Amino acid sequence: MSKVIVVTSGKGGVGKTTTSASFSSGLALRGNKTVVIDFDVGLRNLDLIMGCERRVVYDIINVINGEVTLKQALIKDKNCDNLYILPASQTRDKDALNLEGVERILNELKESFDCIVCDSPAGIESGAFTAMYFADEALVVTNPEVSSVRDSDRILGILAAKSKRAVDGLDPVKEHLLITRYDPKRVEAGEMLSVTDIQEILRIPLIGVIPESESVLQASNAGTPAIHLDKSDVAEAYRDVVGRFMGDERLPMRFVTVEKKSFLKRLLGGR
Amino acid sequence: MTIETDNSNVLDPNTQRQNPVSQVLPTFRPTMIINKPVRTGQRIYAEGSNLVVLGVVNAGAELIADGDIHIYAPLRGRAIAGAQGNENARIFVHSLEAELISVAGCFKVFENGIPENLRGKPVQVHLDGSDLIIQPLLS
Ligand SMILES: Nc1ncnc2c1ncn2[C@@H]1O[C@H](COP(=O)(O)OP(=O)(O)O)[C@@H](O)[C@H]1O
Ligand SMILES: [Mg+2]
Repeated sequence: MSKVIVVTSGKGGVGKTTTSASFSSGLALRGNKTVVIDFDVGLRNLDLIMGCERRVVYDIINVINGEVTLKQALIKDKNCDNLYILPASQTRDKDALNLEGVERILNELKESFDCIVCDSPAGIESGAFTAMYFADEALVVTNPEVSSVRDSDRILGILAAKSKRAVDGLDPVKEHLLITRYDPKRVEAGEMLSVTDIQEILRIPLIGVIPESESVLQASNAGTPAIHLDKSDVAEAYRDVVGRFMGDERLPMRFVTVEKKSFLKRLLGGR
Repeated sequence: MTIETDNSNVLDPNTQRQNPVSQVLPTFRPTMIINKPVRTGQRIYAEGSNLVVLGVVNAGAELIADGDIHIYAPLRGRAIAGAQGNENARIFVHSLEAELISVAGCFKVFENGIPENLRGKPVQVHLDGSDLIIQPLLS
């Protein structure tokens, strides 16, 4: 059975697209036939982070309007065999992304893919709603700050009340909390919320904590999802997330406490 | 399209609005019970009845009841009891962290935070004349 997974948050700039790119890559690396869809019409940038922007010819709106087939619009990822990208449109009107059209596309994708990852735009308006409406599971991306937690809470309320699963009276959307841009030092200094604080408010299961790291910016400039980086905390953290998503519950939660630098590391000036 | 988060589907279908003039009100309506979190932007209205909430009520969420409200979890949002003017309505909270509480239109906001002796404590709220009284629940 294929799964539709939405990466959502309410707030912008928290790491949804970064997460969609790495999470879908990680699923593909573990052998799942995966497609990642950019729902951020007008602000297309998943293709940049995936490093395929020069290969975009058609987009999701072309498919919805019946101008091209799904096969013509899908772009094969350069790093993973099992991964395809369905880009957003940069030029079209957001309202072209209607529920009926999206449902048709998702149903067609379900015939050949195990995992369908939907990268949601920010906000709670139509674009974000369309991205989450058909979800079976949700990664709720949250930064350790009050406004982000508040927006995630709102999104969880909408998922519980207005998603197709809620409307049809099916089992609820399975919710996962993903905390990103986590900086244990600033948490210890009392400048940011802790993992425990966030869980206390949102009360959904934690699927992972992604540390704040400069390597994310380097990866996105290079057009390579962060999960492919060598010797990077962020890559390890995203791999853990994929592992937990696939059912490995024994993985310890890493990158949540301040790492004590060893004497040698300090001497060598490593970070 | 915009999304309303009034969350009408959480409301009990039995509590549709009725015309109070032409109809004899039943002696009581069954308590509305909510057993999941009430989140930012959601509003629950127990019309003509009491309201029991078992999940957390987060900041930016709103509970309204014509009768009493019982919350067996932290209250971080708003709770409005006796919404149609019942001055005997009460609010019972497992952990008081609220933004606003109100009984029969008499309300209190906590602009400067909740007093230390009540914050995070189990409390009950009732009206004494026009004073809103918040008392710790003794255990
Ligand atoms: N773990 C991280 N550490 C540091 N910067 C990050 C991290 N995750 C995301 N970012 C940065 O945050 C910004 C917003 O990320 P993005 O994934 O585009 O968010 P969204 O899709 O939610 O708007 C980008 O500049 C990205 O490089
Ligand atoms: Mg984005």
